[in-house]
Amino acid sequence: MSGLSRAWAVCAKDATQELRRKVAMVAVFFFAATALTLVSFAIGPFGLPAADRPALEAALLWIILFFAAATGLPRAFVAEEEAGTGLALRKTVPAAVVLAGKTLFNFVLFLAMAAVTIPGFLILLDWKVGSPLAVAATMVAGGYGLAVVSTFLSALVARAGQRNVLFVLIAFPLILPLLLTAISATIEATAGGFPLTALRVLVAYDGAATCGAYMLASVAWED
Amino acid sequence: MSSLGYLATVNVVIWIGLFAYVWSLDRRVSEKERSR
Amino acid sequence: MAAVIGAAFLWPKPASGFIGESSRIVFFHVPCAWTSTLAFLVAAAYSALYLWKGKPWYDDVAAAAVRIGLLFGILTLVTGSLFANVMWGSWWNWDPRESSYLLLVFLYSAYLFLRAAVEDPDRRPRIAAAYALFAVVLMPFLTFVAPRITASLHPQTVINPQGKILMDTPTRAVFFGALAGFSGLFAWLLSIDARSARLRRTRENGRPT
Repeated sequence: MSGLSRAWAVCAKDATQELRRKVAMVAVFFFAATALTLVSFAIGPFGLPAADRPALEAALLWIILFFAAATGLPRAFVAEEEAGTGLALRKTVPAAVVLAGKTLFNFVLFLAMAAVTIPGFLILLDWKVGSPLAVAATMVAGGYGLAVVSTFLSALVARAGQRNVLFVLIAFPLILPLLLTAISATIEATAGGFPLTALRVLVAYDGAATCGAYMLASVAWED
Repeated sequence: MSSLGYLATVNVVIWIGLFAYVWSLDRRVSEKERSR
Repeated sequence: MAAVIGAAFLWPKPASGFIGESSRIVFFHVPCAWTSTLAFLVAAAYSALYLWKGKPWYDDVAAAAVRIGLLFGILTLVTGSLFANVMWGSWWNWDPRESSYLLLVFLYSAYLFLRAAVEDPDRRPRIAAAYALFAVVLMPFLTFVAPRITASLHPQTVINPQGKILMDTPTRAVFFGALAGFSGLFAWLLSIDARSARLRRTRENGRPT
């Protein structure tokens, strides 16, 4: 089995487990739904001056996505530890492959989350989107970066104490540039433009994060 | 941040104090290292 | 002991400074910023060394570098804030450069928190090293992204126009002296912190290097 297909296998395994138990999915969607409802109640479609809306909505969207991800994504490795399968996995599959598989799963999870949250924004907040393609591109580029960094960091904290707080703390400084760029890209996309520079930065970030995670995978997830 | 003299004096005091403190820390560590 | 000579350079306080007394803070603020960035690079380098060679001393140095870097980072923010208050009347402005230092401080704190959270002393240095190196890979994005994103909202820091180009000879001499002095101070503090970390470590185990 080549590396890629093994990674896919890891992802598929995680996906089937998740679909069966639904723990992460439920947590993530519940969080997103709650946050969305709260925001809608607070500002609603008419609660803000039109000029401020794009920036605020873009920021809110990514904040919700980030924190929803922070509730769900760290579970990638923690679940292994809790289920006791961690050791077996460590021995049989190279770390980079495990990381790739789980990143893939987390990426899919993120996209699913975005697919739910964005319509929520469209409906509840009367969000106006100038260029849906650009928004989609931003979600893909930003979401992938988020998935890579989150998965890598969740490997680091898998066997540490105070995992949830720890995860957010160590993720925040690294994710912030990604979030800022994604928000800026989203703002431009809602205005109708295609945020080429921002997307380029996101792709570069994704590339750097992937390289870093790949090279350090065996250190993060090892015996 | 008014007078230059004031700033200068404050600085001198702080730096000498800092110096002395860090020096004492260094001495303490060196002693501990020697006594191993 | 290199730092002893270095720190002596910091007498510049009484020396020149033509723009206004408050601008003297540049002699402290900028070297602090420089040192805290240097600290991060040192930490990353020693983290890599540790992963490569495995000597615990490298990890001691890396952790010490982050601690000292945090100290200088906080000093950078404080001195910058003082300067901002004197010049513009507000303590904080969300200027991209100052915000990126705030984030650097968060990063250092996160690193130290991570170290504290990993109970196993064998895994701790490796986990910490992995984080430091991963962070170093992503850090350039912070320094380049921040200026571009918030450029539209805020003016730059006044530091730029006052940069090397405009510095006349006495100021320049003092400035570089301060830079050297702070670097020396950093090296000195680093050595003390790393050595005491090594002492603490070897007190529990045997006598590794």
